[in-house]
Amino acid sequence: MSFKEVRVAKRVMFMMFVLAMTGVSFVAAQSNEVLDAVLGQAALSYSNAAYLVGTASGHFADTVTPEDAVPQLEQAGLGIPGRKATDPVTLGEFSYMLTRAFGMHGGIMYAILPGPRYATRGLAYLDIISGPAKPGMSLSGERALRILEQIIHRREATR
Amino acid sequence: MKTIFVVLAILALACGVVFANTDFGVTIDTSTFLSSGVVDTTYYSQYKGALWGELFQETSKGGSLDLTAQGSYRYTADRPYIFDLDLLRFKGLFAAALGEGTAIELTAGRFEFNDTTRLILDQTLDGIRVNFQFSNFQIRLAGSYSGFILNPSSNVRISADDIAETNDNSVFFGPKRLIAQVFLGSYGFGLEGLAQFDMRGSGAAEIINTQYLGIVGVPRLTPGLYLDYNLTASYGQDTVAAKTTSILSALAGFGFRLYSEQLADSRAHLKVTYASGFTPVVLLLNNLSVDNFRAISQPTIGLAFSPPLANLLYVDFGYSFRPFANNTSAILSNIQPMVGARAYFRDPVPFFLTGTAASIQVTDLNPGSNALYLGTEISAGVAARPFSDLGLSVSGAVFVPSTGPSAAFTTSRGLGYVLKIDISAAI
Repeated sequence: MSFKEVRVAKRVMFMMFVLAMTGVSFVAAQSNEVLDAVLGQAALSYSNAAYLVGTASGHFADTVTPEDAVPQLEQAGLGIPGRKATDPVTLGEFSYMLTRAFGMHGGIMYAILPGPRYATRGLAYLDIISGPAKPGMSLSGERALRILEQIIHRREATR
Repeated sequence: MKTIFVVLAILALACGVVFANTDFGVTIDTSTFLSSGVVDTTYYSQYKGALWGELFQETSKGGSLDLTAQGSYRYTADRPYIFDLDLLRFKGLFAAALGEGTAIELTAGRFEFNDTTRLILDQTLDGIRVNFQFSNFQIRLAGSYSGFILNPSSNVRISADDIAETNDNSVFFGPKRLIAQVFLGSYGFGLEGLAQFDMRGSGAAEIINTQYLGIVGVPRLTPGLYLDYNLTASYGQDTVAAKTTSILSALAGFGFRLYSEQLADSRAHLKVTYASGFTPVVLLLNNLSVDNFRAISQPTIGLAFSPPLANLLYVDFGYSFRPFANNTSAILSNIQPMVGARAYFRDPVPFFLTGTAASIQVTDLNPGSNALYLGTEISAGVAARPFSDLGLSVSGAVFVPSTGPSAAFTTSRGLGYVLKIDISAAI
């Protein structure tokens, strides 16, 4: 198996795992397309981040398009107001979206000053984010899915 | 003055260009230490506030550049104000520098240097470390200097001069040593060498240089069970009044570590550690002496009884678990009770070879006794990190000494109790 084939196989396995964990049906071809697009993004776009956060947390169905996910997430008070759908999100912004959408503990300082900074620290402390965890870091689609996978895995384990 | 501003402006601009991410914060650490009875310990109460800042930049293939600095204010009963630079570290991770699956990690500045066991060296120093990482193998080279570390922050105590300066407030910086390190191997087996060179010069009452060579590893035996071993031989040169004696000593350890996520995240260890004592078998024969093991920085072994790591054989057992590991509450799931016990003996080799046990630097030692058993410490505690920015730990210990007319300690030494409460917060 060539290096490229291994990468593709890993991507497919990863996508299958995320889909299985989120309980999304494989008949939803759109999910596949979105996840494939997410995995290909070196810097995760706001629309795709909104789609991932919203669908995985159950705030809306996976039939929603990434473009529609942005206003829906913002309507739920979980988005980043003023941000364009095509703009990239940082690790801190994604962490902040996740912390609010999943109702996670962000620590004492997060309770006082909620925001990307303390949300990132909270997720790093819980080992949901592995590796360097700086709020201003750019976030690839693959890393975003890994973070999401950790959250879903823990939710399943404690059910 | 103008030049300084220009240099600072250029540096700030360079940092802004190279590092895209900045972070900063404040940490507060309090450690309250209470004791009753006779204790031999290096612990004391201290309260510390620190300000840190970090510049971080990801580079290609998962590499990164990281510049971190931390300054602190520390209060202790003996020294009401200690302003210190705890950390000033540049770390560059150059992924795939030697091909796919390899990396070079370069660390320079002021940061923590340690050997694999942390029994020989575990100290903040100024220096440089290069780590060549291959898939299952690494080569680590390091060089450092201890002479710019504040005296109260230095744990480098090897010679008589070093020990005499431990609590001397008139001495600003800690003992001056050049330290070199090399490590080749993996987690399962590694070859490690260290050397320290005394830089006090001719004015010192005692000059000691030491070199260490050993093997160390923590190989996995079965899933969750690990062997833990180390064996180090040390050679040194001790110069007093222009007379140099060569000294031989040894450090060894053998034990097991157990990790079980299924059993409430249980962690247990059982390890026997041996550090040689003075054995006057070949004393003065070719100026060679089998002597006390000399660590570069003195490790803290126990809570209520922590003698210097020399002329010592101790068995250390510890167990901790997280009873609510799978609880949905982050507060409950991070509660970690722990228990431990340490039985201490003097090095039996001097006694078996000469009929006399070697002396050890502890309180109320019975000078006429050759007893090897010193006593046992039993400890218990609870650690919890209920939030990402708050950590708590309470631990207590009692040391039960072996006392009596022929025992290691005089009858005047009673039980020693300690209680240690640590709180850390991050903003």
